[in-house]
Amino acid sequence: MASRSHVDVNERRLRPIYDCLDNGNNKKAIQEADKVLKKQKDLQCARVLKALALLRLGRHDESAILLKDIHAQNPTDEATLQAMSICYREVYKLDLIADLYENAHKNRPDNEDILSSLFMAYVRLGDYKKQQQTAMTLHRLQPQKNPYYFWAVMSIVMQGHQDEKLAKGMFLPLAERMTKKYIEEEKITAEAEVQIYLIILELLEKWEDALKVVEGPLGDKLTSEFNFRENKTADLYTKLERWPQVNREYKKLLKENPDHWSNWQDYIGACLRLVEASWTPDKDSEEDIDYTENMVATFVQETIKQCEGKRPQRGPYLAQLELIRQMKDKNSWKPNLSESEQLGDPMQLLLRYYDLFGDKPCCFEDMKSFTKLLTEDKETKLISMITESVDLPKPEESLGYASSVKQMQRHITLLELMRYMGYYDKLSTDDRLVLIKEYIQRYHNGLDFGKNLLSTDLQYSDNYLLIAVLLLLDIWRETKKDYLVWQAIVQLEKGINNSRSNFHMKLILMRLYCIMGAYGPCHTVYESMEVKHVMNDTLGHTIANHVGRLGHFVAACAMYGTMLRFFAVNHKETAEYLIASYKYGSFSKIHEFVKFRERLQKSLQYSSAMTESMLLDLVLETSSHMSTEQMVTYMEIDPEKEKDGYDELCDNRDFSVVESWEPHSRCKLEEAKLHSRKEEVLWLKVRKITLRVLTASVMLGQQSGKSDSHTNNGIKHDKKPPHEVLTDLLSQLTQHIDSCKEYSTPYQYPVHGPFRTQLCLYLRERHCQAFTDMVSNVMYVQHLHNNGLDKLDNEKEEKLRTSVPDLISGLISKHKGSLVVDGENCINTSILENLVIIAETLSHVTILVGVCHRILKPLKSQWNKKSKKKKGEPLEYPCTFASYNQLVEGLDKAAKDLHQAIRDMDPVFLTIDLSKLSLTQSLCDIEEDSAIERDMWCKVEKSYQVSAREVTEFLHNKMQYLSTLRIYKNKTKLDSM
Amino acid sequence: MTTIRPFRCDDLFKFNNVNLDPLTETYGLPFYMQYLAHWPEYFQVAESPNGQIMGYIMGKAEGGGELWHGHVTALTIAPEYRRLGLAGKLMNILEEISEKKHCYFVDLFVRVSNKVAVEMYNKLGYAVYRRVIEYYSGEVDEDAFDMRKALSRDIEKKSMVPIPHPVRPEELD
Repeated sequence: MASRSHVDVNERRLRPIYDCLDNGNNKKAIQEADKVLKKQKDLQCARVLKALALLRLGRHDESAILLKDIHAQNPTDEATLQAMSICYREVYKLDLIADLYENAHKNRPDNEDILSSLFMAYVRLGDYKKQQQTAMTLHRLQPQKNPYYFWAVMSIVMQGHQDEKLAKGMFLPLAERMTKKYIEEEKITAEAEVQIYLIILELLEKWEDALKVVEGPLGDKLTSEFNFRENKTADLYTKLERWPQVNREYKKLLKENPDHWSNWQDYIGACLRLVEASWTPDKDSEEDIDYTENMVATFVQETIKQCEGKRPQRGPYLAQLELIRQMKDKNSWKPNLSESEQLGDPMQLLLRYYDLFGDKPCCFEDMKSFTKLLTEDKETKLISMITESVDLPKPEESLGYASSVKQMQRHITLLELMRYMGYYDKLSTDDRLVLIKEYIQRYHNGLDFGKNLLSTDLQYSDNYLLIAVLLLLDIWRETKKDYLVWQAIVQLEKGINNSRSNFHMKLILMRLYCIMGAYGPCHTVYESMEVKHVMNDTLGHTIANHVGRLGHFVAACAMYGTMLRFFAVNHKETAEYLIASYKYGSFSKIHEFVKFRERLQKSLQYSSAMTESMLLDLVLETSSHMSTEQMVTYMEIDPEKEKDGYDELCDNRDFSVVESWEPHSRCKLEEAKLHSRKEEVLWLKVRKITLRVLTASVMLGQQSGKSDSHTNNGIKHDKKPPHEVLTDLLSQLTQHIDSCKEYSTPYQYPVHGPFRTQLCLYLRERHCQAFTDMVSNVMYVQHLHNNGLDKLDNEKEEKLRTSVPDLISGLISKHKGSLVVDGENCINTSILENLVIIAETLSHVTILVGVCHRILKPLKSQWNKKSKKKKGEPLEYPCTFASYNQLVEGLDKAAKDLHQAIRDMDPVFLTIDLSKLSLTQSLCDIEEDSAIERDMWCKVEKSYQVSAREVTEFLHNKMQYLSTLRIYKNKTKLDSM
Repeated sequence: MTTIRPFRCDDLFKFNNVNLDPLTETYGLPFYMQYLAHWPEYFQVAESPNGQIMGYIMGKAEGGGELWHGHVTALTIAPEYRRLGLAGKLMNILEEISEKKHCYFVDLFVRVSNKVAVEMYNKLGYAVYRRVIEYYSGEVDEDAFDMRKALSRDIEKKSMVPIPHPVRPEELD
């Protein structure tokens, strides 16, 4: 081993390299490393640091060579090992880190640091078994250090985490024995060790034993988390169904904190269990247990009294209602019996709650779930009583406005309740329009209260406007009059101008623009919400479902880029925190982290962003078949295999952010979420198979060029030949499409809920037919290639000639048209989406035509050669070539028509000014609204222009692509290609 | 009616109504996970009866000797749940945990412009210990108040004696 002074010299020499790396000056780091290596050419660490600098400069190959060389020397010095781990982490070769430390450990078996790094390397890999072995080696090396022993215990627990049976039969009992041993030998020292014992006992459902730990001397160690011991005790009594104790424990907790909601629920729940069982305490028991409803009511009253004088706590007031709700659930609530009087009348209780908290913005949310305790009559009565209690001034000739922020909020809470209870649904359209105008006026008036608010605050009167907008959208849903949506947009734009950070308004606004076919304005709105990191997963859907379908391809590429970067990076980064959990003994977080990582990895958004982004690249970045082939190689898709199962996909989208106060009678958000999840998964499957079909076809075309298509140097591949893969995929696709049939009628999603996919459009307009027909054409051409051109089939020739161009031309004539519907004063909002999806289908078809071309072209050369050998008249071409040519020509014409159709809807070419078309009628006659409306039309027009420009550009590419796919230039002239 | 419980990793999927607030920063996953792994007890969330996140607090314990203290890294409440005393409850918990860890004081940084927050911390017993110049970077850099509250271990409340001169961020210990 090197002497200490030697080490110091090395350290001093390496310092400048480290400094350069820290400062991001990688070029200089290489120079510094070279300097050191000149003096000391075998200084491993300097070489590794050079490799790291090379890596960070993107010189991956040079870096990899260096690393491989050093790796083979089995380095053991700490600095070198650390630097190498960093390199491997950056290229995400986690298995090499483990290998590195395994080798180092062999050479220095007594080194604790190396072993502990090896343990961490296995944690990164999630190799629980090797984690356990390494931790035990560490334990034998340092038997006095408890953490190592418990790393082993936790590694055993984790080995069972995916298999409950194995866990309970083997791993957990082993972990339990190991921990018990330490307890018996009184070796337990840290809180983390007690925690892990509890984790094991709970996983084994040994509640009794767990309770003993918590209540016993070991429990004294459970101090760091606030009220942990108390909460755990109550929780374990619940698991054991010992209701008297459950009640006692929660009551104790409530005395300390009378606002803790879940404790109220559990306390009441336990009491009702005791009522059911007619439980009574022993005569001389002094335990504080409430076993009748009246005792609960008394405790609630006492609590309320105790809190008097202080800031009122919401908990106990709602606890009264919670008691009634839970009794009702158990059918033990009898409102007419006098003994229940003490418990109170739900309507009176709600009214009192409103009186106390009506001026808080959360009041509606609090009351919401308890309104179901009321009959319809009582609901109406409550509304009228609250209206009275708001007591707005009633001047003779104008609206009576609230005189303070608090009064205004009380009024807003009332409106929210009214909407939720379905009050507005009973009114006529005209009556509702009157109210909408009134609320907008109230909104304007309320802005006066908020003049001094910061731009980061929400305006006090915002919800007046939001309710007005939602009511407008209700009417739109019933009447389908689009001018209402345009008005809603104007109002929301105004609202956001006045309340820059109101994300509720922003989310609805984006949705409305997209409904109207204009993605453009959404971009800035989305940016202004600073959606980043994990929000890509939970909120990304708000734009991801629209940006591509509305033809904003450039924006789509950027969006998928950001989104996918998040998902790719997160898995790398988060592994380090599993390690941290072992280091700090936060064992309870390990399960949590593992599950969290899985949930992100299996995210529906991730999977669909990945697929959509690849499909997008495949159609955008290809203007010749050569570029398509390059793209496919670059994508490294294995068309034969499907990696993830669709059932395990996690839907992490968040729909709870948007306020809607949707009437409870028709609020179907939960149902809509479920439906949407199913629809998204089905659509994802369509898209994934499409991508794989395209990949397999392109590979098929490439292979057919080679003489020996399924064997390589006489050795058979274990992979299926591409034509078999393609046949298989085609049948998968048709089967899948059959199974989606019920989705060809659109589902009515609420405006604050999920948005539909394009599945319905794809099925209804038979885009699937055009695509699968074209795949059949590819397979037919391939068949001729393998079996000879004389094997042609007239029916298939006919299909090759006409079916796909006919389908696509049919779609174009069906959907082309003017952006502005004549005589109806409205915009045709579906035209854009329809033309975009046709363009996409055409583009997929073009790739497949490219494959046919790839197969047919050599056949034609062969034919020409054969023909030349024969003397006399040249041989006549088999009709396949002509059929193929007709296909290309048909598609070319379709592309031109589509190109024209899109130009025809571009507002610039039409020289129309949307703002002059009176497409909407103002709700309020104020200059502010008119200015915003003009601005809105400007944005919408620009958005349509961008779409039209991007789609025409893209079609231009496709026409170019098609022009390279002709077999001969025209029918009469033969040219030798 | 609030349920206060430890923050779980999965809460990151549903904290949007809190984090879409412009003054609440959304960090990369490592930031949250580091706190969850190292100081899980200091990361608490307030949940409404319908499961919505009302707000959360993140903190840690650090420092040596008489500077051993609890630190509030982030405290945020969704707009509709403000003015209910929730922030105070979360702060109490953090203080209590710091007491158990035998910390000398609790400290936090706040934008000097955020008058509402400064006032609230004052009410909770915090005092400005010093001003930190341009602690917050952004379009316009902004100073922070470093506010402190002594815990029971600091009997003479030495930790709270203010420093009259402002300091630069790099001078912070």
